[in-house]
Amino acid sequence: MGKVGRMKQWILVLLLLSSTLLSACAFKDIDRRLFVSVIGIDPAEKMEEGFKVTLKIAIPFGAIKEASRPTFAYLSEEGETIGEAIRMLETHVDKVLELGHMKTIVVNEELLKGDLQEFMNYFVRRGDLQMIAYVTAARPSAETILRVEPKTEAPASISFYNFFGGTGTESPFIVTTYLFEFRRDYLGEGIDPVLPIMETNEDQSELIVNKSIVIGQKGKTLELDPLLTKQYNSLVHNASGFSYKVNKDGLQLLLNIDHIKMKFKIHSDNGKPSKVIMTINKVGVIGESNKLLSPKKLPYYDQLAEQTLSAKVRELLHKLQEEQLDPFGFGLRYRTTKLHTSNPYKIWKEAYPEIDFDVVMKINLKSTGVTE
Amino acid sequence: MNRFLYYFIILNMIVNIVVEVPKILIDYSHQGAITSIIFALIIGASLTWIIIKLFRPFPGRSLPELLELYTPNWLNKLVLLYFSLNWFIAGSLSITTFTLLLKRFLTPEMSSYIILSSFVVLVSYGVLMKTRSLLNSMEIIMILNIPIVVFLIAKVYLDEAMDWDYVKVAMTYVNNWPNYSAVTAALYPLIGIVNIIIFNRYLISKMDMRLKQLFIVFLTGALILFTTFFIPLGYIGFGISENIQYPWILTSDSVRLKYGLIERFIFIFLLIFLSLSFLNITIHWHVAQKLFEAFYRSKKLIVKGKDLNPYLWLVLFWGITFLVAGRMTEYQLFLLGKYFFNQQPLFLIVLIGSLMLINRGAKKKWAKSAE
Amino acid sequence: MESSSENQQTPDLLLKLAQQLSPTKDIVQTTLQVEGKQAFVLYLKSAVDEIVLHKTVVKPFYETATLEVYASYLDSAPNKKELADEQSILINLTRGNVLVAVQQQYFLLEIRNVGFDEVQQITLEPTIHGAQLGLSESIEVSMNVIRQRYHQPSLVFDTMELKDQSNRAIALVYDKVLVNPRALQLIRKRLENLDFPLILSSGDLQLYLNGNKKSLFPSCMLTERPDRLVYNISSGKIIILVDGSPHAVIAPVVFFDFMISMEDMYHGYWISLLTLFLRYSGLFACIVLPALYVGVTSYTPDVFRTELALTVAASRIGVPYPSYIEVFFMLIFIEFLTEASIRLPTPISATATTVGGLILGTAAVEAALTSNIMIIVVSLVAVSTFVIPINELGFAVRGLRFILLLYTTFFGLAGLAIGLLGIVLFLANKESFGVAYLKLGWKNRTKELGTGKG
Repeated sequence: MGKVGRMKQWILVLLLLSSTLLSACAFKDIDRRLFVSVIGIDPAEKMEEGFKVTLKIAIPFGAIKEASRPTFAYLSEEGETIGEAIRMLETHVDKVLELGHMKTIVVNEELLKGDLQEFMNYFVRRGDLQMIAYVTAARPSAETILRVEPKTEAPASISFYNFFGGTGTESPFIVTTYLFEFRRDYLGEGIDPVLPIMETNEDQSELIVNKSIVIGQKGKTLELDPLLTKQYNSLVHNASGFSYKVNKDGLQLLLNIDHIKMKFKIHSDNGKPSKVIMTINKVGVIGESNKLLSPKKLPYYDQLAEQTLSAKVRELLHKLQEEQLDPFGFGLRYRTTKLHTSNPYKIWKEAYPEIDFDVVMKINLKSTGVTE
Repeated sequence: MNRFLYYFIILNMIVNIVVEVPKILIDYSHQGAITSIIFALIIGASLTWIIIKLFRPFPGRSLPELLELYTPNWLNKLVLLYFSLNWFIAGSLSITTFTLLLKRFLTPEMSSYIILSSFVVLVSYGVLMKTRSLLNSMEIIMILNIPIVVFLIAKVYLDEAMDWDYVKVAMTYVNNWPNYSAVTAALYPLIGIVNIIIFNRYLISKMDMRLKQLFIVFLTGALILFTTFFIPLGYIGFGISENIQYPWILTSDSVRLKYGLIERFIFIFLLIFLSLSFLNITIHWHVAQKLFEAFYRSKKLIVKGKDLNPYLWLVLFWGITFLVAGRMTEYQLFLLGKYFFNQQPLFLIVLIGSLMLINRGAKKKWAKSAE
Repeated sequence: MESSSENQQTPDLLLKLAQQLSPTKDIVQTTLQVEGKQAFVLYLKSAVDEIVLHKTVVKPFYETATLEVYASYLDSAPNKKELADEQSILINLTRGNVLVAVQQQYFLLEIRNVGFDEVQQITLEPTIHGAQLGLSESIEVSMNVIRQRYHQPSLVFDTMELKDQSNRAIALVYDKVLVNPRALQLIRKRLENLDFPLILSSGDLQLYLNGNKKSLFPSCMLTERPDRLVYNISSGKIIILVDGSPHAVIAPVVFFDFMISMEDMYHGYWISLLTLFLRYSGLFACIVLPALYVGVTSYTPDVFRTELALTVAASRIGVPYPSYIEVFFMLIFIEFLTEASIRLPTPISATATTVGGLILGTAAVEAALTSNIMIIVVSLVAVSTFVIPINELGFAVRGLRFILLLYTTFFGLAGLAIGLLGIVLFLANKESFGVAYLKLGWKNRTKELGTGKG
């Protein structure tokens, strides 16, 4: 130790002291921040080009256990860009707007038909925004959806989050798309993103998510009804809890499928893609029936189900093909099969409208349920 | 092979997953990044082998000592200056990039000077530490962190949202010639062994490298480079990643720990890589400081039996780093890093050349003393 | 009494010594006298076992035929001590020796009366299994305890004397085959150069040995467990026993030694692994938690899950102080509590903790002076501090977490991460008697990390 040691100590103390003076600016207590939980984006009403941004802010509230409902505050502002609108909104509140917990981005359906580059840019560029935020389309407008406060919402939890990502409900009707996925597939060549559509009932007490929308390039969109949404979701995301009704010759079966596996392959003829072979394996049980069932006849029921289900998948595929949309990423897959020098994506785009689909459905029903 | 050599090699590999290297490689993803990676792997592994072989005759000796013994004085000083600058810049670059990274993703409101100053006290302490203690702490920090790193990387690999088709598309760009910048960028993570020039003094046994060890180094290098380059593509897409400044940070933010203590992967990722970078910076500057000391040492600075030379160098280090970090934009920093990588071959040539000179000098001396 | 010419005068030495010792009243200077035989005895009543004295010195005087026989009897007594200069005789007298003068011959006999030679109950590091009795305040008994537990001819007791005012006996205990010679040499040197006016017990001896009194982390360990002593002797360490202190000093020690409880040896593999894991996580928690609270709530609340963020924000509503002041206050408060309950007698300390912990804690939350989350954090910290088995490390950690808290308050979460690394660097750079304080002990690791010559 000695003199040098003491000097070292003083230097240390001085350094720390000087940093207290400096660091005062970044220190901000949690109760001086407002947590933006959902952000809604609508087209601007007052100006030509621009957005209307609505923020749903979760207000922390004294005794959570005693509170019956969560409390939210809503802020709206229009601006030419999203960033501008949010900057303006910062002047409307007394605390710092914290976007780090913003986990759902609700976009007006109309906006999806335009160019999305610009506003996506904002979300990706900001460092503190989560890339695992959910993106969803809103009908009729983002603001209406944001202002819905469902009755089932518990205090200190936000129902917008529970819908997606398998956190709360796990329904095959609900498509989950994260921001990074949306960006990747929107900008990527050969695949199109799918967003869930959020709706509300008449008295605005419920949020309803069971439709989805495929977003192609250049504003091409296609809405999938609940059934098709379910088909898509079960194939791509292996969504569990999938059930399907089979109706044949007066026999009604409700299948509960709990395991789905989908693979596809692209066949080429003369250097051109000609056929997509989709193999789907499903394992499940019969959940409901209007007649007595025999376990011995399970293979027969399998066949019945295969026919109707593959027809449904084919319908989905053809519908997408008509609109030249490709949420399955066939084009992307085709690109992986050829060296880039042969420009496979161009070939694919030309071939896609005439391509054949071959759906091989294998259903394996394990039992007829508890009763026969 | 001595375990500390592995630590150096692996530390350098892991630390460089994050910032500059993937950015450069992804920038060249249409122009021969894959072939560059393969090329760099071969060079990197063989360089590691050559350097260890060249050091083998001198156990317990550091490069400055060897230069002093076996090479002419003017050359010795020149080489030392060049090396010390290299190590200083390497450390300074990673400290600045990490500062900007933290500013952007962890504490956006904090000024970069404050973030930098959080490094000052402890990095300086590490630099001034006894070399042997530094080795000990390196071992501990590595052993504590590497399991987490493995977990993090495994998580990124196995996540559902990872789309391997993009990776495969990237692979269709294999038929391009390697690009110089991409090669040097891919080479940089592989040459962690160069720290041996100072640490060799404290490592005496098992300083050999056989085929098996070469294979291990090659394989880990391949794995790390694959991870660095391809995995982000699966999350941010191929062909649209070029305009992303920090591909790996975005990737880490794309992974969700659904049932984790912390839901957002990015924070664990940032903090773990921060720790490893901290270690790497400390090691770089420790080497730089030792080299500078061998280059120039003022007798005037020995006050009351206490050598103040290391402090002088440290003050210089920090002064320059603060100046640079305060003035530079992210893009300038990125360019600077790229230039630094690009001059790497020169560095390696000088290193191997001087080692060969030393070997020759040593042989001559032996021959003389044998007569 | 007739004073004949054959009656010798009390020897000058005895008189001189007695004079030097006066005016203490426990001085005894008598003359044994029978049939012309004469012997002189000088001792301090408070230090000497008078029954033994009577048996071994007084009685034989009357039983032996001549003074020559008596002198040779005393000469061959096992507890006879070598005579040196006056000063050392004086010190020896204070230590419980008896000076006998027979025919111009002087004998110094050690007849100590040690009132505290019972082996003591272990209170500092209690275990369920394992030894229940520790060392004694008497160095001989303590040495006996060790010797009886470690039957090796290579066990060495190296006694010496402290050079301070207390002049206490100390003993270095080690296995001469296994001992780390460099550390032994260092300890010897330090003991010889020890220059402190008064050393009270092994506790402060340990500090002085350290060389650096300002160090936060202990570089010796204090223990009262004989099994720990034996365990450490067998792993080549050096034990220092101090007379009058029931604790022994173990040196050199490394960081990991402080995290071992002797209980670990008595449990099965998985159980001790689990407890070890618990202990390290406790250590980690009590260092990191307060800092983490500040770092997360005040710099990066994004780290929390949203629900947790809202809960924390809610619990902080109305708290007037920034989080770091809150944490500082609560930590200091909990330190008060700990300190109070250590110093107070057991029945009162229970009340203190109840009043302090339960009532004040709840009231503080009610009054919105602090958040409930903070109370949870602070209690967790307090509890996990007690998981550390050795007290000295516990104290060090208590200090350490304030430093880390400070660092995080300035620099946020990144500061926390860097600060933690700094602790590792600091510990790795520390040495305890030439042994690195923190390093991993792999097999043949030392072989790989050698130092080059020159």
